[in-house]
Amino acid sequence: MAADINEHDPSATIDHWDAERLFTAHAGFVASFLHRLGSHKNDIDDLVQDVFLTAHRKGGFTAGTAKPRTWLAAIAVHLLQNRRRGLKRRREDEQFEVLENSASTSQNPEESLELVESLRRVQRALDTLDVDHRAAFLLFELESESCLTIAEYFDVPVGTIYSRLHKARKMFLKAYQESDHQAAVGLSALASVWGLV
Amino acid sequence: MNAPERLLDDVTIGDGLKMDLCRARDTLEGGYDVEAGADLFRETLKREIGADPNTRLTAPLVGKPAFIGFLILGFSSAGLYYLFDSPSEVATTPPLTQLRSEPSTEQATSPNPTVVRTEAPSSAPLPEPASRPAPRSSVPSGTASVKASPTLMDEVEQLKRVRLALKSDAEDALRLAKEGHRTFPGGLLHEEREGLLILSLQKLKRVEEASKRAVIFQSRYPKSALLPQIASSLNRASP
Repeated sequence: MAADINEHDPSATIDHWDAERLFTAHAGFVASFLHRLGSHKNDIDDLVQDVFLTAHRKGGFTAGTAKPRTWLAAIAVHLLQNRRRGLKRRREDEQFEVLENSASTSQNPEESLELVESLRRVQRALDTLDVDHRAAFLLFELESESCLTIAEYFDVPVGTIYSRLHKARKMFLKAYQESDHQAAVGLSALASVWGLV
Repeated sequence: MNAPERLLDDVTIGDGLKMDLCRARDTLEGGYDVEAGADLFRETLKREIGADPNTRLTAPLVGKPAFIGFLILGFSSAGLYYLFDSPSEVATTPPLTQLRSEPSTEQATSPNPTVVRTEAPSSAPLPEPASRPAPRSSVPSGTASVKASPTLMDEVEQLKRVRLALKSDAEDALRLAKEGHRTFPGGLLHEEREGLLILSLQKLKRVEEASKRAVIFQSRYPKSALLPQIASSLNRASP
């Protein structure tokens, strides 16, 4: 059921989502979003629970201009900012865990390695952004959410979102280009050790 | 300032970055176990709904409109009660699962319980505090609110079970190892547990999955004592 829900935009057909249904459909996204925001691995389980508990207290999600994911992301950012402890404790090696039980459909080890490298490059670039810029960037670039909706859910003027996105994009591109060269080594070398490529 | 253009739509952006962004977009990172999380969430919800009403005000996001709505419903219920009350009606508290969102302290302690119900309202008191879970001083925080923190000894015992299971039942060993990862996130014995998990995958002939995890394992624990065993097992399993 969760897979079906994830594959299609749930807000297109269902007007109201209670917290339990939201959890089944979007907990994976929220965990991933928190990971990308820089939340520490050990905090993610608790934060995911808190996000949906907050969603429950708000009475669930009612379809409007935004997707449920954007609404949940806004809650996640709010909770993460309150905690203020994830970013400093992130460990580099956690990034290698991205494939564990991931939603990737990749079955081939070689493809998996490429996927890990891609995700690592993106994450390294994301790590140069603070939470506000990162959240706006993720929702705009990866979730294809509109600036107006992001502004609405983050309770800031749309100009602020424009500004954050411009700055985030600049910083992201700079960091990405710097780490691009490093991507050729690392896991590829490991893969050759294992004889996978 | 103008609205920015998405990187994926920007013709000046290289294919490599676009490919990476697409992969990031299509992949859920973090390896979150939704089923286990959902079970825990249901448990948390039960406790949340059954918690002492005095702690409910701590919920920071119960909106004022909802509160006013509950008050209106409460007074309406009281009016209906006086109009249609029948001696044959049993004054019972409805199942707490009927609550869609929690009322605040004011609602719970008001003269009329503000629970939304379909039956005729009653003046029955709320359940006794003693029959409820102990009040919490703050908003529950996921796992921490449900179970006590596991100790290192718990982790050692759990790892022993994984080891034992691996000798006789790889499927069970795999299940236990994954359960251990969930129970002891960031635990001291993650390395050994992950190694055993990979070995159980190999025993189950899930070679590709084992290979992927082995690569990650080696990158995280290049000096692990389990690496030779994993490598030789992988080499045997590889076609």
